[in-house]
Amino acid sequence: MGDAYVLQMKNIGKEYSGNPVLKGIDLKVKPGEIHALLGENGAGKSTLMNVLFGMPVIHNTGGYTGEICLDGEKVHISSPKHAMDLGIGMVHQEFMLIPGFAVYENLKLNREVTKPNAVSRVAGKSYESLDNGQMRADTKEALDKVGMDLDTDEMVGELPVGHMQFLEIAREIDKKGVRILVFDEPTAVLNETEASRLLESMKRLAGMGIAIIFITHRLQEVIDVCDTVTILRDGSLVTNCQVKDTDAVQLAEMMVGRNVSYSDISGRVDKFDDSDIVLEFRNFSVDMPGEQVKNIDLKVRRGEIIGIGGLAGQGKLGIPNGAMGLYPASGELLYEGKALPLNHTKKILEKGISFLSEDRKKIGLILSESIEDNMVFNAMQIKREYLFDFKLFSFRNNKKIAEFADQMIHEFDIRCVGRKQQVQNLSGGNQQKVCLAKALALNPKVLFVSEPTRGIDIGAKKLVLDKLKELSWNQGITIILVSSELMELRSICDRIVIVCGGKVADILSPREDDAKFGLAMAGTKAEKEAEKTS
Amino acid sequence: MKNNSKFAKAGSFAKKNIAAIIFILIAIICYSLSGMKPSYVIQQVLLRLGQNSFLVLALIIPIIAGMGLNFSITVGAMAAQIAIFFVTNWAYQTQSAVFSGFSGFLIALVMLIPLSLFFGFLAGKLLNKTKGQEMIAGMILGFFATGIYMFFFLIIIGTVIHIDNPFLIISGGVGVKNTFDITIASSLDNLFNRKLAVAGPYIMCLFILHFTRKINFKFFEGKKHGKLLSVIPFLAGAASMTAYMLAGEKPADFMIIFYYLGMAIAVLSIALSVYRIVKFKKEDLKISAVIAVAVCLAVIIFFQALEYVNPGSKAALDEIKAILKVRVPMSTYLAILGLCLFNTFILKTKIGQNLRTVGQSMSVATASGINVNKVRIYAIVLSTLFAGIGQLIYLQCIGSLQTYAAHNNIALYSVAALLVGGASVTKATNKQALFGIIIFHTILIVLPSAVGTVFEDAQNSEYFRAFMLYSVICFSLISYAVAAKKKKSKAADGPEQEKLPSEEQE
Repeated sequence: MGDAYVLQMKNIGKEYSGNPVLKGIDLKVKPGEIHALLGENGAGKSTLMNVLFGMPVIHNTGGYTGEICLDGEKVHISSPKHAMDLGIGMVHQEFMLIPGFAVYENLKLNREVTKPNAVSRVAGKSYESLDNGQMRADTKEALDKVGMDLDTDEMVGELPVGHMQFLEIAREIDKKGVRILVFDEPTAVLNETEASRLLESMKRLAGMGIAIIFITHRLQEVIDVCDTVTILRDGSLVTNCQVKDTDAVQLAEMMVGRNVSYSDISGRVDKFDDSDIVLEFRNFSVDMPGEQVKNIDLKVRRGEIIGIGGLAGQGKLGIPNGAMGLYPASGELLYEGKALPLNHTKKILEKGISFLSEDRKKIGLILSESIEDNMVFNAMQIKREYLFDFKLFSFRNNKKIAEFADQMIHEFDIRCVGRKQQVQNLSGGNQQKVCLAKALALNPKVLFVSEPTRGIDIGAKKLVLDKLKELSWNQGITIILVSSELMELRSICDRIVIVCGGKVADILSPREDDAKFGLAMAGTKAEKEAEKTS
Repeated sequence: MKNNSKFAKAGSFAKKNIAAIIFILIAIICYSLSGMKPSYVIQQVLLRLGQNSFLVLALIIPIIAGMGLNFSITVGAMAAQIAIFFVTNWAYQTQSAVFSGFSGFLIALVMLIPLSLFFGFLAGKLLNKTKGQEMIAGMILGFFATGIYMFFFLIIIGTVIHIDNPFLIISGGVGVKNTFDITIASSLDNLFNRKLAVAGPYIMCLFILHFTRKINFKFFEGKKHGKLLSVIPFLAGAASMTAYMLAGEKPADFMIIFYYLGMAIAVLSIALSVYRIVKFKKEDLKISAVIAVAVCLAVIIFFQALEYVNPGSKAALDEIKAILKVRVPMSTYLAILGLCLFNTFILKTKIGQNLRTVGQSMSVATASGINVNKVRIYAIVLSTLFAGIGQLIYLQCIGSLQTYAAHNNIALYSVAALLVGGASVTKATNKQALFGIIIFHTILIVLPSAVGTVFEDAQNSEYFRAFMLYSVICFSLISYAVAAKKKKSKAADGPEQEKLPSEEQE
């Protein structure tokens, strides 16, 4: 029975510097089977695939535990090249294609068919001529296999994005002896018809006996095409099961479920309603690479903490960055009922809207400057505070700056040698506290906070979240909190907006069921799913 | 409909080559202002084509590998100058004929190969550490290397390396003289040259055979041995013409048969092309090839006519005779042709495909398992080697070596010539290189007189020459950046990108 599996990963474990990211994962795939791999961002899917591909990042950090068997035979995969030789292929999420090359050149990239000539007999194999005819023929054949009719000489840059995905697949198929093919979120960039064509093509490949591991966030696709499914959560295996024994609601629950106790969830609910709107997004779009926002409508109530959640790449980061004018935005943004000038960061800051960026090292802080200068920099620029202002020119008011800095260092418990210390020498958590102090120096009425706890330790995390809560509860500041950690959102937010594909998928109370969050993240509204199952 | 698309094609051809067309116009205007004799201009252009082509062609491979204009060819030039210094020194000290003339040239060549390979390797290492800033890094590397080079010639020679040679060394015994005559002057140029009356039609005939082969190629496509069939007229014509050329300065009477045989094949090829164009009106026809054939044909007819024309006035007759007598250094041109063929050949091989892949996207190349750093070093090493050979050819033509200055503006002049030909930071071909040299140097030759006519003070000419040099480079870099930005914003708008110009390699 065991021998029928083409790939078995048994009890896989992996640690990064003592921090376990994979714990006892099992995964088995039979030939011709489409196997879904599900999990939130950070659940360990990519680490597991990195183990399968023998990526250097795995070996450089101490390797993995457990064993991998191909056709029942134990192997140790040492490098991506080795994985390729063993017949494991990967269809990348971002295209590894060259726009200026023809289709056939891309398909045969660094695997060109060559034939010897007079020079190569003397100078070596790398001087052999390209056999363009043979390369075109191979390309045609591989494209036929994925069910794609394309001119082999067309420039890839002129192809629609949907076709590029097929090219990637054709390239993997063209590698001889592919047994296992991993698809890393292939449908994320495709529209519906393209996605369904891709699923067709996957089925066709499975029909040829190739085992497919399909990483996706779209649960409906799993129900539609997959045979078996593995779900990971926080580096642990949740389940291996047959898709026919389950449904989308169950899958979503298993992906997200954490048995949240109610004491963790925000205690302040339903205090706000739509009668007092401070900020309103109307038909708002942001062109942020990898985080596109498409025509969202959203009302932010005065004084609330509104959470924005969703998977990476779905557009949640685009909302604050677009609103602050860091990436080109279009549509309307109303503040106190009046339209804000879009793409004009200074004017937006002047209105009392402040932003704590997710990229604290590049946007949030000037790393080589001192703590105090970082804290008051925006206030000096925008509000002309902490200055002796003589209109034509102005001096720093060092006394006031020092007072404010010392107060903040005390209040936030910033661990430093003094307010003159360079921020680059602070730990991530303390840097984040400086960012928060900087945002507060502007006395904001509305505060955008983006991934405030990314990469900081638990103590600092709690302090930052408590401070945000306090700002809203005691000082009445409206906070828009963007985070990929759902638990964090649920612990302090009054409402949670889940975005998917650049649009609002659902607006939920933090007390809603896990499954509803899971389905919203996967782009399926709970009601719709309920209709289907009933 | 057909006409329309032809016009559109001609229009896009003009648009693509707008820079080159502007420079041709400038050249024509300057020439008509200068009042120079055509024989002098022709002689100078042909000379400088021989001098500079190798250096300019050396720039092509790094451009294809995505490393921009390789300003670090200066270090290759230094390798050549070191080799020439030693060869000249040995020639004086041994008094042996081996170290002068063509044999001296070959010895210098053998010496400079390991030197320039080593220098090129170091330059490649450096440029790999400064990815994205290759051009400025290469330029600064040139200045830095000049320091070391000068240290070697000013101080090392005489203190560490003792050379007792009053012709080369400053009278104190330390340091090399500012300028000295080299013993391999004109060694390559004089190996094999012919007067223009013979060489001109010969070269043009080869061009016609080459371009008509391209036009007629589709005739033979799909047929058995089609490729071979299409090459036969080219080989036959070229062989008979070459036989005539090799027969010497005053060939026997019957040798003229070969000459007319070659010409006849060329004429037949043209007839075949015309037939193909009229009969099939193929859309894939290359307008540039047709224009090239027409130009070559016109030149041949012009030469033939010159032989028999009698303008009446004595001055005009003398001028015609002078033009026909201009010497063409065929052996140098042969070396240049060799490099052109190499550039074309390398792009059709596996390693050439690696170069192109790296040039298009380093990240994709890495992901597909290409050793990007190795490929980039390969490109720079080749470029440096060719630049070394190029400088050797350049200096043998000049005849003397300015020890401390000969390499100074090599990179700038080569880059400017290439850009005038219509090349950019990311795209360059042999054709653009050769064409650019002809136009750029024509302008440089006639500029002093043209300026003298306009401003009545020829001293301004040096200013204009420098201004022209830098403005060409600046103009090209800016227009490239603007075009790249436009393309980027277009790509962001939607998946339909602007059609990338297809890679033309000649």
